[in-house]
Amino acid sequence: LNAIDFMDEARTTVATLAEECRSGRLDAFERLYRLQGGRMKSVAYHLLGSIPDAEDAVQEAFLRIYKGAGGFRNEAGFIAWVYRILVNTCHDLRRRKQRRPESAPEDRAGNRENTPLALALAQALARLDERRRMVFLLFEAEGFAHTEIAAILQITEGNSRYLLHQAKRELQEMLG
Amino acid sequence: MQDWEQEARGLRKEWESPDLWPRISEALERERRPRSSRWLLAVAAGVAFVIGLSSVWILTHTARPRVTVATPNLLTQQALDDVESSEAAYLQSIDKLAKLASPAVEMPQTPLMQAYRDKLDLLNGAIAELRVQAKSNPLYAQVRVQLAALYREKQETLQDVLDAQKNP
Repeated sequence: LNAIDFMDEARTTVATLAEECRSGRLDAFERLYRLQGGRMKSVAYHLLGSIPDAEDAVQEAFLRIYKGAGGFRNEAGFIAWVYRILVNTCHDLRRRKQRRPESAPEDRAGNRENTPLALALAQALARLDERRRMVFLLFEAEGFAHTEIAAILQITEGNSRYLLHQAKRELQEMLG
Repeated sequence: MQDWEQEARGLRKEWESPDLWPRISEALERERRPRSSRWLLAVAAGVAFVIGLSSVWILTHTARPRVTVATPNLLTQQALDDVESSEAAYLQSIDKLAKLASPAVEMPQTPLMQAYRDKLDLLNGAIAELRVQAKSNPLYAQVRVQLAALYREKQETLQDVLDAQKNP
């Protein structure tokens, strides 16, 4: 597949998935989990700072997606909508638990070594304003484009670029 | 690119969660189950109600001539007064409930509310018909009994609507 065919196929897959989720098919939700579950867990982890909380958030987000999918009409924005629900769920969970993410999220995932640079970066990120940190993590760690980040965080694309720029400048000051 | 930027690319957290999908799937199943059982309940109630209504109709339309000719089950004036006062109490209660339930019933937002609305329409039709019969023969007990049953059914249905509003 060339790049254009690949993108077309990806769009069709997402549109089909959105349609199937809208009709309440459980197998469609399972496919959504297989496709996005890993990244959803990671995003939730960045927001909540612990693996059990992140998993709870993903579970609750799926329930909200299931309840809301019937009324969802914009297939093209389905994935961004899924992450918007996840981010809102994380905020709700955090409010419910009245707990802020720890200054440096615990690394129980064990998939990266805690090098001095990694620790310094985690500490610097924790000192960033939440919106800047989220834009930075969604862009750099999770690989979302600014259009998607704008849809997920309900900000403009320009604002997403600006917040990323600000985040990088502050990190540069702290780490550079 | 700075070292920390390179490091940031690797910030995505990955871990195995073998029990997460089963948990989600179970939660989704649970969410689905009450919906279908609610539907079944509404359909079963509808079917039972239609059967009941048909029986009432058959009784009133087929039994009446025989009853008037043979030994009609007639009320005394005292019994009629009691029945009428009990009907008035029902009507008062129904009026109150109907006012409370009217926004949900007039603009049903869910299939369950739509089912309640259909049921209430059926009940209103049957009540109107029986009231005409009761007016033309006020002392005929069977019609009064059926009318009271329909009032009770309407009162309970309105109460169900209000309960469903409180616990959607």
